[in-house]
Amino acid sequence: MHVDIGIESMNERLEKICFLPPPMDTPWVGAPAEDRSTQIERTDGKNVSLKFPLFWYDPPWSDVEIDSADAIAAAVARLGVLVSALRSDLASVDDEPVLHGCTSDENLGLQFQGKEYLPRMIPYRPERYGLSDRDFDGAAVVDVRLAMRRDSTGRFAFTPQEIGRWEATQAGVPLAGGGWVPAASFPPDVEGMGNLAGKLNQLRLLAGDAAIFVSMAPHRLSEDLPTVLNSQPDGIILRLHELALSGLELAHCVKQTRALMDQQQSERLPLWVVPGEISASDAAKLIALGADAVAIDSWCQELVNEVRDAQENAGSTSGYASLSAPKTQEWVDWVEFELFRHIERFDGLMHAMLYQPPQDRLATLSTEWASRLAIPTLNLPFETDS
Amino acid sequence: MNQSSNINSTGGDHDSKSRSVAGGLSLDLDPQQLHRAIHEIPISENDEELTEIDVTGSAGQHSVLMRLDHPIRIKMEGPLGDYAFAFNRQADIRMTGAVGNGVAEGMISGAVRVRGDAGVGAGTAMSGGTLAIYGNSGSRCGAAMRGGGIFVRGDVGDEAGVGALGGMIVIGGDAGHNLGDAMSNATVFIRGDAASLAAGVTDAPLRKREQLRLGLLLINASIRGDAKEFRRIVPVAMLEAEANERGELNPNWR
Repeated sequence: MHVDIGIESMNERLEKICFLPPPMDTPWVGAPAEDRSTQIERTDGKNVSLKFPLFWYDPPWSDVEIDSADAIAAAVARLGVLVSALRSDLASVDDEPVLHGCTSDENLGLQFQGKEYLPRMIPYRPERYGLSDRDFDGAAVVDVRLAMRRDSTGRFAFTPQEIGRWEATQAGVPLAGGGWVPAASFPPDVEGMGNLAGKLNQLRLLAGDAAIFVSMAPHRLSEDLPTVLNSQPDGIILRLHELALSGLELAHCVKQTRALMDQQQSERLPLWVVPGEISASDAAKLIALGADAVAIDSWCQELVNEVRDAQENAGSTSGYASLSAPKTQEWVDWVEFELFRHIERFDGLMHAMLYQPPQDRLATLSTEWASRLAIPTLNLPFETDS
Repeated sequence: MNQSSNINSTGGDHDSKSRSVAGGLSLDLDPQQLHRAIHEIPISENDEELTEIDVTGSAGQHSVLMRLDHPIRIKMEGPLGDYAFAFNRQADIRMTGAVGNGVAEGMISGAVRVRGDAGVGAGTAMSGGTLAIYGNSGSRCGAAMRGGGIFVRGDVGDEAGVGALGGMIVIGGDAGHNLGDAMSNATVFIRGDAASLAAGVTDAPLRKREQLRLGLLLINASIRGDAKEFRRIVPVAMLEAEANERGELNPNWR
C-alpha cells in the first residue's frame, strides 16, 4: 500500500489571498471554453503549445535508479506537465528514454500505444555535462541556465551521483575520483552578456521546435533582467526558490518582476517562476498575479522521495516493495493518481478564474497584502488580524 | 571510387540563402536545405577516402553546419561567425580563415580543422572527435570537455580546459592564466609556457606511452613537432591516483 500525499498537507503560502467569485447578479452564462493550453511565441514567429502552465524545473534524477527516473518523468509529462531532463538523466547511452519518445513496444508492455509526445524541457547548463545532440529533438523548451548551481551542501557544484549519471565511466575509475565537480558561472563559449543573443539564436536552430528560455536567480534582478531581456529570449524563468521568501514576498516579487518586464517592453514575454513549496491554490494565485507558468517541484519531489525510500528498503518486507519496481502499470497509475489530484485542483481554480476579468480575480482580508500587491480588500463586517 | 560533389554557395555575408552548385546543378539553399543536401550526398564506398565537397559563401555567418552526421569531407572558406560545426558527428571539416566563439561546441566525432584563429570557448563540451586550430585560440578553449582532442598550434587564452572532465588539449604555443582550472580527468600537453597554472594542477613527467600517443596525434593533426618538446599538465589528484594505481583505494579529488 502506498502512502498518500494529502493536498491539505501542502503549505498554503498565499492563504491571505482569496479568489473572487463573480458578483451576485452575474447572469448565468455557459462555462468558459475548456481549452486553456499555454502558447509560447518564439521570436522567429513559431509557436510552442503546452497543455498546462506547470513545469518540473529541477528534478533530482540521480536520487533514484535510472529506470525509475524515466518512469516518473514520463508519468508526470503524460499529465501535461513540462518535465526538465536530459536523455542521460533517464537512460544509458544505448537506450531510449520513454520521456524522449520510446514507443510502448520498447517499454515493457505499458498500455500506452504508439509514439507519444511528452512535453520536455532541456536544462542547458553552462557546463553541458550529460547533454547530447539528440536532446534537442522534440524538446518544447530549452532552459538556458544562467544561475550557478548549488548542491545540497550549499557548494556551487555537482554531486558525484549526478556526474556519474551523466558521464558514465568505467567502474572503479569515476570522474574526479568520485568527488564533487565545480559548477560553472556562465557559458564558457559566450563572451559576455552582450553576446548572449547569439547563443540563444544558435539554440533556436539546434532545437527547431523549442522555445528558448533563460532562467536566472533573483538576487540582482533589477540589474540582470534588462540585460537578459536585451538578448531576446522567448521567456524568463525566475528561480525564487533560492530565497527563503514569505508568502507576501513571493507574491510581491512575482508582481514586481512582471512590472519590470512590462517596463522593458516585454509585456508579452512569458514569466515562469520557480517558487519552492506551494499548493495547487498558490500556483493558481501566482498565475493570477502575473506568472505565466509555475514550477511544481514540491509536488513531484514527494514522488521521488517515495521511490527513493522504496529502493533503499527494497530488501525489506515493508509496504514499499511494490514501488521499487518502477515499470509496472500499477506503479505508473500510482504516480499519475498522486499528482493528478494537485493538477486537477489547480486546473479547476484556473477554470473558475476565467469567469472574472484579470484585475478582479484576487482579493485579500489583509490591508498590508492589499497595499503591497495592489489587490482589493474584502469588505467584511468584522475586524481582520492585519 | 571517390565521388566528388561541389556545393558552392555564393551568397553575401549574413545571407541565410545561398546560391549553390552541385555537380553542375545550380541551387539556392538556405541553411536547412544545405544541411539536408549534404546528408543526401552518397558516402564513399572506400573507407580510406571520404567523399569531398566544397562549400563556399558562408563567410560571416553564425551557426554554420551544425549537427552534421555524415561521413563526408567538407572544405570551406571563412571567416565564420560563432558556433560553427556544433554537435557534429562523423564529418571531416577543413576550413580556412578565422572562426568565432564556440567552434565545434559539443562535437561527438569526426574532425574540424581550422586554418586560422578561433574565438573563446573553442571545443566547449565536446565529447569526441578532433578539433585542430592552426592559429591561436581564445579563452576557455576546451572548457567542460568530456572527451576527444583539441590541438592548437599557437597560443591559447586564459582558463584553457576549465571544468574539463576528460579528453586532451595539446597547445603548441603558450597558455594564459589559470590553465587547467577545475579540470578532472583531462590532460593538457603544452610546448610553451603558461602564464599560470590553476590551483590543483601540476606539471607531470611525460611517460613513454604518452610520448608515443602524443606523437601519433600530432601527426594525425598535421602539427609539426616532437612529442618530447611538450610538458604534461594534469590535476594533482590524478597524478597521485596514477602513483597509487596498484590496487589502492583512491580518495576523492575534492
